[in-house]
Amino acid sequence: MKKNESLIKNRMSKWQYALLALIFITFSFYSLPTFFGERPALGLHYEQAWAGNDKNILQENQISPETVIQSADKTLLVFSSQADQQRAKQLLELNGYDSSQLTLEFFSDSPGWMQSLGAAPIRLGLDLRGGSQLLMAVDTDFIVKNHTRNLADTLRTEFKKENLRGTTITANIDEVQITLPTTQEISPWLKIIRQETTGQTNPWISQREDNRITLRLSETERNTLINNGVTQNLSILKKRIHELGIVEASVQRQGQNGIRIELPGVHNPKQAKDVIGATASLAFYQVSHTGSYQLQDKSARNINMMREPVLSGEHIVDARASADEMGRPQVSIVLDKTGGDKMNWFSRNNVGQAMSTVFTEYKNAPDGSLKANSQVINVATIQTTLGNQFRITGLDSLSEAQELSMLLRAGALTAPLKILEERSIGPTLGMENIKAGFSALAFGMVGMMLFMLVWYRRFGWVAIVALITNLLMQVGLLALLPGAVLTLPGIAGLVLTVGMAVDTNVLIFERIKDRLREGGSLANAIDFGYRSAFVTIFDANITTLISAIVLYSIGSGPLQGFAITLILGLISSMITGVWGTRAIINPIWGRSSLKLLRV
Amino acid sequence: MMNLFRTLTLTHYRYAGLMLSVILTLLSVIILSIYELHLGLDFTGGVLLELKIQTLKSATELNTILNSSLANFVQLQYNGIPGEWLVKLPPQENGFVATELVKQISADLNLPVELSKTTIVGPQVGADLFEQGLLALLAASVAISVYLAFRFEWRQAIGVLLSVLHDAVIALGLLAWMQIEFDLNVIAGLMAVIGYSLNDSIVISDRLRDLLRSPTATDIYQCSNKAIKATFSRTLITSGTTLFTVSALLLFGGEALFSFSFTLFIGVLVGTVSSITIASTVQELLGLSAEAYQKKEVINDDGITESL
Repeated sequence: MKKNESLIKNRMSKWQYALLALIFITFSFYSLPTFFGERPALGLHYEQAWAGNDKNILQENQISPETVIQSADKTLLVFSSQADQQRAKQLLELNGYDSSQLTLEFFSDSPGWMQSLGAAPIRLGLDLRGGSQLLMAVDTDFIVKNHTRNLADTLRTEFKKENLRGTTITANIDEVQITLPTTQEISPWLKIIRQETTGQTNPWISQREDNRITLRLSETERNTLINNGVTQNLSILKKRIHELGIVEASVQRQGQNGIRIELPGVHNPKQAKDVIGATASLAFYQVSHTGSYQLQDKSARNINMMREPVLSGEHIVDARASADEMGRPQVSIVLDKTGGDKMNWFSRNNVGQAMSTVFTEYKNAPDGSLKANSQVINVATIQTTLGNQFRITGLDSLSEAQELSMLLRAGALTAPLKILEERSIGPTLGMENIKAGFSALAFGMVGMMLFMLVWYRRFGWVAIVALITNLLMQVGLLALLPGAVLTLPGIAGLVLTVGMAVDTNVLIFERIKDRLREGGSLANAIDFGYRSAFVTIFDANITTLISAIVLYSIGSGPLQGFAITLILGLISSMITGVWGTRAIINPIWGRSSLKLLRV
Repeated sequence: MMNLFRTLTLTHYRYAGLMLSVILTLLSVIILSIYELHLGLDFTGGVLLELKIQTLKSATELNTILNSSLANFVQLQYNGIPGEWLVKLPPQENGFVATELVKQISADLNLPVELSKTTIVGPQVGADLFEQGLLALLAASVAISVYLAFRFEWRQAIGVLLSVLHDAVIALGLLAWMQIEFDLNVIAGLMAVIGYSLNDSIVISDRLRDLLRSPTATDIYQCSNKAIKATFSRTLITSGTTLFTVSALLLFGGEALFSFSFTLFIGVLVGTVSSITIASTVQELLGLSAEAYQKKEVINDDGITESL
């Protein structure tokens, strides 16, 4: 009777085996590309790539790609080392190739059919691949201040329009103060103020004290403004990084006003930093002796111009750097419809007059504040009516022209950024970290397998199968999970979960041994062991899972990298250790009435 | 008679162990207040450059070669591995460019210098990261407590929590005493210690819960001893295999993982002991008895609460 019971208990249904097989096949398949590895590559996104000048440039410098893969939209040069990949990109850039047409990539060595099924290697973190990471903060005060100033400006213009005089308006960071004349009836002012400050969301909170009115930005409006500003900066940064030719970069928001940027393969973060951090804009002004706006040009001459720009940078839709007939650097600009009309109207009425191009850049000052630095980059005489396409000259070098065109294409940041943190890791160190992590993993695995085999003999090899499957599953899960990245602490997490995964089997096997010692049959002991150990395994793993999830949601960087492998490891060790081993043990020993003491 | 003698000794061992654990915890607290944690760059902010310079010269020799204006500012440190050097600087104002400093060093030494790692952390970020790390530890403890309170009798839950706390405090004390840099990796290590130590304590507590629920359960002391004996080989095997893999990390993981693996090594060692000395004694001191679990069984039978 008892024997029959355990016979039924030690049987898993066909669908359970099918599901288990499906899980196993899927994850081991998706783990395979990782073991094939990948090599650094450079993508060329221009016509007739690798046919003429570019090939010569690299050959002259003794750089030859291992493989060249031509496809419809790009040519991929695969190199043996990151050093070659970096040098190739640098050389091509120095010879006038646009950096947005050269992309740093990594080429998977796995067979093509695997890739076509969506199997890709694990994404490596910067500590393993090498690259740079920047943490920047958006100047939120700047966003708010801009908004407040706009309101102050609008009020001034509106009062002027209605011929209302005698008011003083001052704008602080998030409030506008208006002092109205005491001598007059103030309702016309109030009417304008009301008209300008009430919206659907009631953005301004007003406070009146006799003839002084304070308009303060409401908390919700303030948050919305900041939120929009940061989101907008985020998308502009993405565009800029794309222009730099970094394919696998990640741009993420961190906290209320932080932005984290990871640039794999970028070992000298200076160029990236310059482009990313610059809040640059371009505007065109009418040069006039009577103008009250004075700026210096490159030779430190003072140029007077009108305060209101003829056209500002927001109308620029495209900008390309090139060299003119004389080899001087220039930037060709294309404007949108409104910009084109404005420029057309202005230039038609001002032929023979001078127009200046002003480049404004915000940079960190030594005291931490952000300073605007405006410079006249050229003053040109308008020869003819300009349309929506024209050129800017007067730049010092081709690289300056390239940087300017890149900034213009990607748009101006809505608020300046401050770099808070910068980390970069060289490619050789990354390789060393991978080697160190995986030799630890290999050593740990082998040692554990030997122990399990010696200690549990018959059941030992089942535990070993579970261990290997567990590792494959973890790798497969990591490769499949979007956004999951393997870092050095992540490898540590793998090693640790491998160490702890054995625990599941130890718990079960020890219980089985206990029952056998008490004199039960093997079949009975197996059933008892799995059933009674499960509660313990569940309790123990769930608490660890909780702490790992907390770590993932609160932490960043290495903490998250570690937490993700820990979470995946716990899940996969539950599946392989409990379910997987039983699937093997059931058909072999599940019906045995032997009373073996040594399992 | 023999049996009684045996159980008495194990109980004695457990309480002697508890005394030792209490002493070690107090010692760690004292050490922590005297030596304090050696906070790493992650939390203090600053600049760390790792350089590769192929030279046989010593640090003092290299530092004297560096031109005098640079030497006031930069000190090369030996990084323990031939050819690898460190430069540490306090948090910089703005616009620090690592590559330019490296160029300058290379020019002064007249040697090729390769920059293998740059870390620049602003002081504010450091403070934020520290808070974030502590918050993670705190939030995890709260979440775990809630789970334990659900699954176990409150006295057992407190025993498990105290044993975890004990492990974290001792690990921290040792880190402070040995002046090992406390960085984000150490926080990850501490979280792993918490996870491991919980595992260990829960396995024993779980067995004790089983024993207390059984109708033959009598004396809490006997049940505790039984639970420890029954799980003892599992405890040794698991901590043995985990210590083995962690040693592999210590051996091969390189400098980058040293603080993580060291924390973990200590934590696993202490965690194994504390699951016996603390997790299985505190509930006795708090007055846990078999009735506590058996009463609930009665409620179960009435069908009022189903799960325990």
